[in-house]
Amino acid sequence: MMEKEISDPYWSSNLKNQIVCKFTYPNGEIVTASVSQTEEGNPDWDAIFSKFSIEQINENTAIRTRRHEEVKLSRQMEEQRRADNMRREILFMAKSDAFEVDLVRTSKNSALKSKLRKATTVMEVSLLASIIAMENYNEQKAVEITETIESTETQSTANTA
Amino acid sequence: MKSRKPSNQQKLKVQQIPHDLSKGILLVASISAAYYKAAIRLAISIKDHYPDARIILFTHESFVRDKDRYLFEEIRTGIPVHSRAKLWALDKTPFDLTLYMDCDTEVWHEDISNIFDLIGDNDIMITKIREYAGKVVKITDNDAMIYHCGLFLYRKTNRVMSFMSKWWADYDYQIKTKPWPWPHYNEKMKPWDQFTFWRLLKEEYTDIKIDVLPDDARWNFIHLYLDSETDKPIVIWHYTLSREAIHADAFEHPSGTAIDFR
Repeated sequence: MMEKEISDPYWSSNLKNQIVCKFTYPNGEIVTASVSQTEEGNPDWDAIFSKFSIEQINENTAIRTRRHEEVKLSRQMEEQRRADNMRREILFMAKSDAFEVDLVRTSKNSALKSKLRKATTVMEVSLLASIIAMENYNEQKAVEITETIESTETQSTANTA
Repeated sequence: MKSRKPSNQQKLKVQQIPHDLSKGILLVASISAAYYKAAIRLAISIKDHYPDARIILFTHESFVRDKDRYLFEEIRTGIPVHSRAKLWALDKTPFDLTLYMDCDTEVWHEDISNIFDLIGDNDIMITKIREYAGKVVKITDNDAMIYHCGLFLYRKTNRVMSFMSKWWADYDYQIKTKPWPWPHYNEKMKPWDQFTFWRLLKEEYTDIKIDVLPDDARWNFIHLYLDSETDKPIVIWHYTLSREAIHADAFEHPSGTAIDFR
């Protein structure tokens, strides 16, 4: 049997009845092995404990757990960052589109347009843009009606004269 | 009933009023139509809060839409396809006092009309970068690029115009020249127009008076800033366009040189 180097053992079970470690063989091959004690006895298990104490294995396990938690946290943060960016981008596009609508951009209601600029959700953008557009549309209609009445009156005065 | 429409004579009078070019706002939208659309959004926000504002836009002919012309005193086209076309445009301002604003900003408050009063006896008024919200790049052990060049006020004097013109020329030279022409400064400065700005002020234009706008955060409130940066209402919000938005609407083959004018 080839002599092998054992390294990085850690508990792979909370019951502490299984260890994962690396075996490095003289030919350079490295194997990750899962080792547990058996009724007949396991020379690999004994070899691990002849080289490492339980405290060392506990420490290795704690380091791995910490590292794993850190990676998990950083992955979660990255996912959160991507989601926030996407949300911000969608909100930005919604605002840009809203200000491309003529009835919104030409509205004189700067207070509502300010609210639209500061909106924090797409729904808010959509509602405010609708209100602004509707109000502007009604104002434009009112002006049109007034102008028609004025023009009719002017014409009728001219006809009477 | 009298008609409210102006007579031809009244219209003529309006047209004859000379344009007041004492102060105005300069915007530049190059390379991507996303910047043009952002500039339009910005101009609408300026007019909403400062209806008398005079705005000039430098952009590419192919971006311009007739429906946007009413927002501007003038739209000038035939500008370089260049990531820093703004530097090219700065010395072409028609205004005695100019507020340059990045396109990805928005006006949120009426105080915008007062910004010109803050120039005092300075030549340039600018805002500072916050380290937590932007890159404060160290130039030497004692110097760092602290100015945020996304918004500033400047006077149209011969000296300042010369500075602006040199800023463009030197930046273009800086990004194209190999080997790095300033060996006493770190070559990592190469992409930064703030470095050119800093170097010119330090080495050639030491007589130019530059200061930071009072309560500067409210005049250029970067979207990452903490609310505690100012206790007054934000006047200018700086949001920053995403790379995706810029690339989606960019010229198919931008040359990125100072030779390609469109």
